[in-house]
Amino acid sequence: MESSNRIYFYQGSIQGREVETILHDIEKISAQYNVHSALWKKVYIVVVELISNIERHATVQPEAKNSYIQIEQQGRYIFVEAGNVVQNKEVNALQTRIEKVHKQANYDHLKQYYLDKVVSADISVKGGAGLGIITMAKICRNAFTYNIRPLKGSLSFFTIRIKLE
Amino acid sequence: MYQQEATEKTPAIQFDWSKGLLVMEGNSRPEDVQSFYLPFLNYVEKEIQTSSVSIEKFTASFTFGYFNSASAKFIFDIFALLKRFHDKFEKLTIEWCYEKGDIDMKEAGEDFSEMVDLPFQYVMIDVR
Repeated sequence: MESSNRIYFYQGSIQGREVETILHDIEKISAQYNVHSALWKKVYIVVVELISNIERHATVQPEAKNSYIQIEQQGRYIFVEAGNVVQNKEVNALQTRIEKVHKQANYDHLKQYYLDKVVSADISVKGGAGLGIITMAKICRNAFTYNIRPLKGSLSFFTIRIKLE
Repeated sequence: MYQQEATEKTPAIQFDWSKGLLVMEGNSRPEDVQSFYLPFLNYVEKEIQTSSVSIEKFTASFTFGYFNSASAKFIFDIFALLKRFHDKFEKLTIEWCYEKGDIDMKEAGEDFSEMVDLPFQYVMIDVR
């Protein structure tokens, strides 16, 4: 197995100003690593989606400071990982959304599912169209894993790891 | 005429019904996607509905560096609007421009074309 090289890590609250800082940092470091521009663009788009999700859903304070974004290079692959605290009442809906994407049998099914969702999407009160997970899944050809770990009280910790090539 | 300058998070928009032209160019990840796209969509709909000017050729050109998933819903709505009023123009041309090597962006155009069932012209641009 090829060794993994962590090329970016941010941990803390991800809201407003921090979002811009993260995206600027990622743009800056792209020049330092030998990553094809098309692959780096996938990384950028996936990070945009991940931090939008965190911004919308990880609103629990003070635990929001545990949110993180990490980018690793492993050979020709880039792994983008994000984690954030979610409220338990949101876990079922999140898991259902992810599993619907995960169970698509192949890329053609995933693509059709994406097309149908874009056509029928409604914008939520939080400003999302419910398309973030499926957009990322389409970019990585469904090569992602996730975990939801219960924390104390009414909270859980959600992590997602996306493999890009 | 509807005109909006590009920002780091939002694309430039130029819509001129009398000239048969719509140009969108830039990135799209508005903080409030509805506030950005809805006024534009409402303007276009009203302009086309109420205009007495007959448009022979309407060209819509889209050049995105990237757009987020919430923007995709509204970009689709723009195409759906053009499709709804396609009888108002004799010829509708949709140009989908993508950076050389950016196959994902070209595929995004193909997805929209399939969703809305309109033909797109794909234009590869060489960005240096």
